[in-house]
Amino acid sequence: MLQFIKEGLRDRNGQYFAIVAAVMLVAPLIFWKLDLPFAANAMLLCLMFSIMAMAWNLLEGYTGQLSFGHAVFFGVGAYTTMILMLYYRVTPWVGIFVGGLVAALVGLALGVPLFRLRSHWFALATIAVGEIFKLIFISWDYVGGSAGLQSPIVPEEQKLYYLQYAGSYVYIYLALGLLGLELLIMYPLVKSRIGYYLQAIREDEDAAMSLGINPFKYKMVAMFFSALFTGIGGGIYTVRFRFVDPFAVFDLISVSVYITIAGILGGIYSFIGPIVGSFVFVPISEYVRVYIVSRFPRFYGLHVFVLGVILLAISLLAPEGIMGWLEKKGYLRKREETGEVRKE
Amino acid sequence: MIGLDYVANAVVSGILIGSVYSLVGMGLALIWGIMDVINFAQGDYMMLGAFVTYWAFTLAGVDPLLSVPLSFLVTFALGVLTQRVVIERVLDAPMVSQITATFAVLLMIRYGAEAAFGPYTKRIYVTYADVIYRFGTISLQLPRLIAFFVSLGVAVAFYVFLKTTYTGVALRAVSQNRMAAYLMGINVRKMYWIAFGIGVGISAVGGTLVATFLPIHPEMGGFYALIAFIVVVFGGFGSVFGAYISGIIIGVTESVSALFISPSLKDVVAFLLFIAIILVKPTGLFGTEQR
Amino acid sequence: MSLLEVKGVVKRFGGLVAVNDVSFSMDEGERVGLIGPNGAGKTTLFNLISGYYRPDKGRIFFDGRDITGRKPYEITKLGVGRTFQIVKPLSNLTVLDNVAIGALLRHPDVNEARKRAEEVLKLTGLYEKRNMRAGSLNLPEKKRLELSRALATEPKLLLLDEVVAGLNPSEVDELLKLLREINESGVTILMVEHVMRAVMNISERIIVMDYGVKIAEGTPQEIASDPRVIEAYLGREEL
Repeated sequence: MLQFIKEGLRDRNGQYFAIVAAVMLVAPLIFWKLDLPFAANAMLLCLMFSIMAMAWNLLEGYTGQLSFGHAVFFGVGAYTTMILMLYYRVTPWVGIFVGGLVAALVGLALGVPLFRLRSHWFALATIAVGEIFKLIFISWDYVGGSAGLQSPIVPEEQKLYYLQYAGSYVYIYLALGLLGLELLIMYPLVKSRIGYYLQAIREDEDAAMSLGINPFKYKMVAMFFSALFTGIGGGIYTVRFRFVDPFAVFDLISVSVYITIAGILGGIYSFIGPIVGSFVFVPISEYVRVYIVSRFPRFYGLHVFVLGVILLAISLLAPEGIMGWLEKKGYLRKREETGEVRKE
Repeated sequence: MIGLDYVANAVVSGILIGSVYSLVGMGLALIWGIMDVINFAQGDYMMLGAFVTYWAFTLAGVDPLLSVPLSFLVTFALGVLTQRVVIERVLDAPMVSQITATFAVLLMIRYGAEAAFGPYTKRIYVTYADVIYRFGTISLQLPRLIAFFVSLGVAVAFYVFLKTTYTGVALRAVSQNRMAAYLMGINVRKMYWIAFGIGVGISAVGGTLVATFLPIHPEMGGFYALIAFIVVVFGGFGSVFGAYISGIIIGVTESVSALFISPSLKDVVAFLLFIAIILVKPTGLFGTEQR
Repeated sequence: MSLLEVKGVVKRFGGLVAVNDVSFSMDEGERVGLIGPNGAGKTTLFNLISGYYRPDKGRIFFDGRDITGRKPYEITKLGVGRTFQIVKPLSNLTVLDNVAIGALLRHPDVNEARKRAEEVLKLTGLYEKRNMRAGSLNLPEKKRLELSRALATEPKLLLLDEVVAGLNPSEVDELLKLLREINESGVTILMVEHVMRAVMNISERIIVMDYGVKIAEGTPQEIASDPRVIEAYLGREEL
């Protein structure tokens, strides 16, 4: 293990990684000492969206299947964690993972019909699925209908069991741990045969089949892990906010579109692009939202209009996102040299 | 027990509302058929059509039926503008840029409208709104009946346009073989903006019709885009007239199923129908295997 | 026992019968050419054998197994490699990765597969370009990439759809030499080709198709003097 770390630190990327990890670990302490709850909250959101955008990108960047429906997995993960906690007193330490698994199963079930559609239509279908889930949860009494579910404040001695803490500080470490877990699973995955097969499917399904690849099977593998970690993101939401309702968790804009923009802004052809994208996009969009809502309260919806402008600008001007742009400018090693892919 | 007359009523009202779904679906199918681009903002151009009608009625007292050409022309112009400024730049770009660009247009139109008009439900009260005809046990609301005939008229006019005019024939040529059409001297780029303009214009007429009997809202496009999408998949993707028929089928399905389950779940039924179709016949009801 | 056996396959597209009751068989180690004018149904026949189309009638056997209606990736796993007439490079991946993905079929370990891919690229002469983006290759190189990728799946039968087209005469000779080597290492080859010189040179046996029907079969000498073949070709303007 020590040997592994030593070797990792000799590599330039390994050094960057170590520095970023150290900053991430220290930052919440600083926020807590200086009493900066907003900064802590923003960091938590960045991490949550990092987890989800990276998961989303396994489907889009690697497999070429663009989803506008990841709110489904987020919502299912959030509701599962909440229901286990509220109805069955299952600790969210377990519930978050069960939530991820349930989301992954939902993903597989949806994959069966949706992967029959060509790429554009797949994207459109995912929007439809999101809306349908919202409608179902609104009229489903067991999950609290349109009012949603709220978990009560628990006494001091149960705080650890129910993962209930004031502010975002503790949850940042939770999210960091889960992001770390995701990196540990995703990185070997994309470097393995599966990762190569996914990229072959993205490039050309007919060619992939001629190489012995079953596109449906591998799309389902991508869907499984993509939905799994997005569901885990939903679990973090539940423990942090102690409240889930169908309008919030199945929201096209503030969940699915946020994930999409974060992923695309960071760069979908880069493994860590979605994390970079989340840390750039989430603070900006939160700032824009708060600023516009307080400055122009009469122009409801204006901040989403601004999101549209941002998304259009990325699509037209920098479709490869921040990482692609950095690479083009020569700030990063070319992906050819690192054995990774490159998209024109 | 639900009586037969209820079912008959539901079928008829399903056909009437379905004819509006058809218009939105036809626009989407046309754009896909010609350009291989999905316009994610299709439902939002329909919303614009509804609001053009609303403002023409509220500010100038223009009868909604007279604003049909107005809302067509306004959205046609906006569609051509969108095509020129956005779509044209991403036609040769990777798939993801095409999708995110038209999705960005969706966000800008939907929430731009919301910022401009306010997040409120609006309604037009025309004098003939409550005129009801009865045929035996079936009762028909006049505005819905008008909507059906206008929609039928638009579909027929569009059919005649495709079959008899030079532009119509050129459009069909482009949809069948872009390269061959280009070699035959057809200005493909011009066909693109015509297709996009007509595609969103037809949907906007649907918006105008809906505004005469249903409340309208800046975010209404989301619902109709969902329906349009189901309609187009059902109708066999690029098939414009398949879309017309399947719009009516979806309308009937929804309105009949609303008799048996909570009306708020009727869209879920339409969606399940859609899932069933792509599982059984992925090329859609009226689609064929491609070589 | 024959390696490939095609029995009375029919494929229709709407009213058009693209392949009409075609039968033939191939023994292990053979080099067979498939020729015919444009639109004769050669590529359609390839797509039927490799599983991209499902025949409306007839059966196809490979290596003693009925593969009629099996999926393309299953057929690849059984040992049928193919190239595409309209090349389908995995454009945004490197040349090496394109081939490595083929090699992953028999060598699940990525490093092992990359090593195998390097060997294949040395054989096909693309090794120098291994780190280039596949999309940036020129057309003859893309054709050779198609061949490399199919080889990497270690097929028993190789279906080559116009790999020689677009090459200059010396490149053609080079590629034919390579195909002979591949064949001598035990790979059976069925190739569609328009370049007569190439197909006559390399094939032990030739099958001729016209309007979806097999009109002749025999050695290159027999085919060259067959009146039906001459009519099929000379009766048209295009050739």
